[in-house]
Amino acid sequence: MNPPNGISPIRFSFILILLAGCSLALVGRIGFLQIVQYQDFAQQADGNHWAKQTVQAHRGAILDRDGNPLAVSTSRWEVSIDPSKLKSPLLRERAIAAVAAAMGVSPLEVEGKLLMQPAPAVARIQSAQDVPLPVTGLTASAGPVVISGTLDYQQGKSLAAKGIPGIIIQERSDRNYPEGGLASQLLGLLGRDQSGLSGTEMDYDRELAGAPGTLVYERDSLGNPIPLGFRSEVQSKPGGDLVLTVDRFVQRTIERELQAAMERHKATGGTIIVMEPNTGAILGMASRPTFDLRNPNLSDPKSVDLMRNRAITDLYEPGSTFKVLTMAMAINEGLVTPETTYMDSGPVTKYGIPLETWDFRHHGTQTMNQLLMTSNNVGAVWVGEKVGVKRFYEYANKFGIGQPTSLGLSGEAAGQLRTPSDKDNWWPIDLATNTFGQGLSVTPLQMVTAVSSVINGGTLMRPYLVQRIETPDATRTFQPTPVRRVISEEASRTMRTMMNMIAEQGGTTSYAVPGFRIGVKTGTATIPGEGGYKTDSTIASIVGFAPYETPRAVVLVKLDAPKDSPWGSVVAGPMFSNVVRELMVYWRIAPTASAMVSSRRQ
Amino acid sequence: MTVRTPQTRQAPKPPDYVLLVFVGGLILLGLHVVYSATFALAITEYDSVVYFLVRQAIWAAVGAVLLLICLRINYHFWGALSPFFVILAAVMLVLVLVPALGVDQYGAQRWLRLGPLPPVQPSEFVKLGVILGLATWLSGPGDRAKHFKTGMLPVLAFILVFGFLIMKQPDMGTALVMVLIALTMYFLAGADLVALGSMVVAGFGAGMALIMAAGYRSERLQSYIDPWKDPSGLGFHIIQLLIALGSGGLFGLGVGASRQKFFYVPGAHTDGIFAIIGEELGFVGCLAVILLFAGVVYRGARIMQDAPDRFGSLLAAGIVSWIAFQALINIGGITRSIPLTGIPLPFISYGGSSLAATMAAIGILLNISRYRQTHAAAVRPVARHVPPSWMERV
Repeated sequence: MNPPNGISPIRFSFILILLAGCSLALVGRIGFLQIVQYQDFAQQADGNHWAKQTVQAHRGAILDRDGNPLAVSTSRWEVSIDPSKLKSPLLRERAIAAVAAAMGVSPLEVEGKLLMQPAPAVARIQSAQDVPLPVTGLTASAGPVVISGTLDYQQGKSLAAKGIPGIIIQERSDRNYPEGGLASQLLGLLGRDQSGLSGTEMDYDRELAGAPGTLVYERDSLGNPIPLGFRSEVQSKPGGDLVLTVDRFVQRTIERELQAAMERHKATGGTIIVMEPNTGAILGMASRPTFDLRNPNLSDPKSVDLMRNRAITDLYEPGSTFKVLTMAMAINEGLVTPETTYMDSGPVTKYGIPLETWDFRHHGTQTMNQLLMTSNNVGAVWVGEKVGVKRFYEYANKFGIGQPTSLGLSGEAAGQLRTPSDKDNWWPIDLATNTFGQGLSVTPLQMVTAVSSVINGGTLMRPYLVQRIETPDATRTFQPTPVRRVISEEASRTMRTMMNMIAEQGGTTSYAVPGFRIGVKTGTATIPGEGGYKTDSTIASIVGFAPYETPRAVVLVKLDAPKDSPWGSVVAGPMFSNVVRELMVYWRIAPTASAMVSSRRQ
Repeated sequence: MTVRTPQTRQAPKPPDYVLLVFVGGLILLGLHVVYSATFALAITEYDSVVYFLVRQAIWAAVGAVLLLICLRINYHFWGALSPFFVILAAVMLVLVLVPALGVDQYGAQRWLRLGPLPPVQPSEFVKLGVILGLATWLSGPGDRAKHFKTGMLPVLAFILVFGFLIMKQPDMGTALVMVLIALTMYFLAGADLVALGSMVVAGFGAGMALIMAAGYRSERLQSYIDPWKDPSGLGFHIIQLLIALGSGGLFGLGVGASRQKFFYVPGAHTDGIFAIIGEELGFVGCLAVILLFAGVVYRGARIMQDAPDRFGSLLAAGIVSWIAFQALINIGGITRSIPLTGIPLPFISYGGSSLAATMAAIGILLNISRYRQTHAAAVRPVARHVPPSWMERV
């Protein structure tokens, strides 16, 4: 029976049962989603929310041997405002006021920048090899405007701590070069992504870079960190400081001298290396042409090529400077003494090829000393034949010719030395030309290393450039590393004397250093070209040491294709003299009396 | 104008406080979840953690005032005014389509801005108007619902006129709720089952046609059938809703701990709020919400059953089915039980119009409860003096 309101109880129950059925089905559905499928959805939710960001570590500095910075990273804060986050005028006003206060300018100025600069603060790519900054969740959202790129560190830190919505603060790192473009090739270029692209920056990247930290946070669907969300940071570990063996004064001196000579002689290139003979430490290393670290042009392949460290990558025929090594072999073997004589009766023909002296003069009977002083090719061949094929190449190998020196920089060339074991390429004539430094090629670094072993007592040292890596936890020190003994102490002493006699022969020499006794050997090498040697250009070089009594430095100077004079003694000699004079003054080495006498005698 | 029926002459009883407790529970829970879902959004965008909470609380207060007023006004008063409310509802729906007055949001024109008043969503009040109109008509003399001319034809006219105006916004969810309310009232009023059955079949066909006619609706249907086909595009919203709900587990992540509210869940504080409840309070919280709604519906159904006259009964039926269907469709969409439509969860979702309109409706329902006919009363009505005023003492 229907109640007074006339509603059928059956229909009423039908509706109630329908609703109850639907509700039960929904409860079942929710239970299925929340209990049965919970794991699956929880995992998906985690995938949604957790964001990971890499925090760059502070990059270590590159210092010279006394701790003067050559390349050093500084941090700055870049502050941007994201107008899309500032929906109410109140929020906008507050963000602008906070930034203005941190920058110490008026809010009006910030407001102006916000209006004037619609470009988003995404890293702009400057060149093909330049890697853009990783776009993180912080930069990915549309439209932040960079207000200042140089906010004070403390101000930036406190502004970041406030966490005001709409303000984006990012740490940016710059590489500074307090010595300007000094040692550009040696230091190398650092990319925008904070990884080394060349030189020491590249080869010691791991040590300099440190360990990046990670920031884990919860993000919203736009990738921004959520307010009051979880946030955990694994602190980055700063990179170590690299203390080089290079002395910034020495480096500056040789770069200045090299640059001046390049212009004076209109040369196509050149290298100067200063090495500590007893340790193998590089005090200075410079090559031309070069580039400027502060203003690299990476879009031009030619200028990218300028980044290579020619002192270790480029080969040349050493010419007469190699006679030092040939003579050292013979002296060490006891085959000759400085006073041993031989007969120079004119050009010699070896295997059908005539060999001449550089000035086409023939000296008759000469001592070994006179042979070196006149740089007699015919004499060098005589000495080489006395040493013999087998021993000559054994010694050449022991001097490190034909092998990289393991300086620790990449791209080091091995040089070219054909030996009799290479039957297809070696001809007996090669021994003759090799004795005076032609028909083989070396890097400037190999040559300076080999000559160092001749005058340092006879031990070949492994050259090195990094003497210390200082991380916050530990200091790693690199000791001088002897590679092998090549000649005896006795032979080394004799060679020092013989090289000194070249320097102190009668008459005025271009490489003399007034007041100091030195030892040298010059070289003028012809440059291999197509189908023989070029006739119009040479490589003028000189290698020497100073002071004679206790050698502090071996200096190698090499100038490619000088236009005014081809001769090593004329072109490279004065450069050597200038560099050594500067070094003697810098090191406060007192002029020696005997040197005074000898220079007066000139 | 006076309306006198034998039933209303008796002294009003106290209203159904149990119903009030259930509704109050839903509103308080709603305020809590609105706060929890919005405080982060509010601080970043409006510089105040309570921006949304304060607004929702103000609307809850407005709703409470409306509820108390309706509680005190004899429900027959609304019956007498129903032609006026029906016309007002139609006018509001037309006005919202006027570009100068309607507010366009998310591609639909659903808000009406009149002068300095806060914008309102007429759809919410329209539902009340339609319920009043149908209850008045169907409770008229004779068995109107049983005959074609007095039953099916007027009901169909209501559905078509208001359905058309609401679909112009467009707002398919609200239209669907309105149709379900109308059909339920028609059914309970004693509809001819053949006529009702043909209307249900025709309505289903028309609904499918409407879905196919609009590209975004068929896309939405596609995303319902297989959301993982395009998880970052069409399926994004429904997948994020499911992730929110599912990752809550049995007990939820904890109050305020929702992560999906950070722009993952669409309308985290409005239409999607049930997903946030599921994420923060878990299955237990969802069950609590559904039980509260069940309580409201059950008490409402009792009021309807015990209503002293046909008008009160149908009015109660309309209000109860409104809340029941709207909750079912909202939660059904979020759980991917049915396609997703954008309608608020009554009493809980952020939104003043919905809260105020439903609370006013609860006030009317409570007033009906004051004239409930217990079995004994139905047998032996007690004639007592009734104050000649619409305002009654509680």
